[in-house]
Amino acid sequence: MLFMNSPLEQFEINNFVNNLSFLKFTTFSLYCMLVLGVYYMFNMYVFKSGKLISTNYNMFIEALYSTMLNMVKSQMGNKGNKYFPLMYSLFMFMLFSNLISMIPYNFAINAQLMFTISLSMTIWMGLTMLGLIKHKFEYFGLFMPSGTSLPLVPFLVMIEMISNIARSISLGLRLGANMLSGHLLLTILCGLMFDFIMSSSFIIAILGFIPLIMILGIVSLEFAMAAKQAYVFCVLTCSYIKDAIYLH
Amino acid sequence: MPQLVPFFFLNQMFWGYLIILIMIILSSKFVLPRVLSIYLSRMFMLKLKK
Amino acid sequence: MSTQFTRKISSLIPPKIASPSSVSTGKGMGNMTRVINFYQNLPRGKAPAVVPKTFSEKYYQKYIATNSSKPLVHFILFFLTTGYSLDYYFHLRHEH
Repeated sequence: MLFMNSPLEQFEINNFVNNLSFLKFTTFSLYCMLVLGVYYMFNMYVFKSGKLISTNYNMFIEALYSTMLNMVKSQMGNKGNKYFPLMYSLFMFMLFSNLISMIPYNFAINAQLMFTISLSMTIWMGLTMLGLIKHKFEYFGLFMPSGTSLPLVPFLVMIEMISNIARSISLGLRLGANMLSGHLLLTILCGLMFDFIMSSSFIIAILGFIPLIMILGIVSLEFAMAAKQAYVFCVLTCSYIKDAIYLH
Repeated sequence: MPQLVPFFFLNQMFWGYLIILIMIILSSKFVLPRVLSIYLSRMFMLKLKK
Repeated sequence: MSTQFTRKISSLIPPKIASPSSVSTGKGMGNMTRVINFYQNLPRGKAPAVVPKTFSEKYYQKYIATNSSKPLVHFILFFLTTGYSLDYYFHLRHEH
């Protein structure tokens, strides 16, 4: 008998408190607060001694800080410095929530497609408004790359506009779908291995160790994806902000 | 997908945005200036030494 | 919104005590007293050892200041127990 009825049950959200409409305390909100706690631990608690050169945990945070700073500065130049706290917080939130979801029995925040897609749509909407306020009607010049011949212009503007609108969904969908598929794949493979090993035939039980190698490979891939998806989200957001501020 | 039930959408959005907002405020007021002061102190000491 | 939270750069950079003209010999020699006073009033010797009193200070001195990897193990165990207890309460209890 399988313990789980379907592999999708790991993404269920459960209520702790029944009546408070949208303020209720669910597993999602619990894990959001745990991510905030981990963020506080890594960023404030390890810096308490006040030393200039401190422990390895400080080095981890300084490495992430300098990675983010170099990324923001190289993409957006000096005007982009005011977006650095946003990028840093987004990256830290996604990194820690992805890494926490890799521990067994834990809940993946970024696998909830609704959350990631709404986040990317909000960011895209904000960028469009920023560009429109700053450049007014010249913002639509973003859709017209320089050096195109005149007959191609209507088609090109249509295609550019559609790709711009698709950015809003693709940014969040990429993150959510990667996390969802990774966790789902791991659950399915582990269920397969469990079925093999618990069977009554000896040969099939020995064969059950072959999925173990695949699981090892996919777990290491998932750890890499956890960091990479967070980074890719932030790099693409920086690139879109650069498009809105500088208009190519 | 049965786990993307609409019942929890508003809850997810509210708590997710709230926590990200708290992280942005915390980082820009406390965390990032602290790390920056460490970098600046190191640079100041290096320049002062020469 | 991010423009409201910027701090002035003067509060981050350490104070400027010495300038090249005050430290050199010759015309600008008069301001050495400020430099001397600053360095005389700094605390000397090793930093005083912190006697840990609260749980967080004790934990910091025992594990984090010594660069051990036990905090990561504690982290994983904490999340394993919370995740398993949530899973048990909502899912595994109603299994059979």
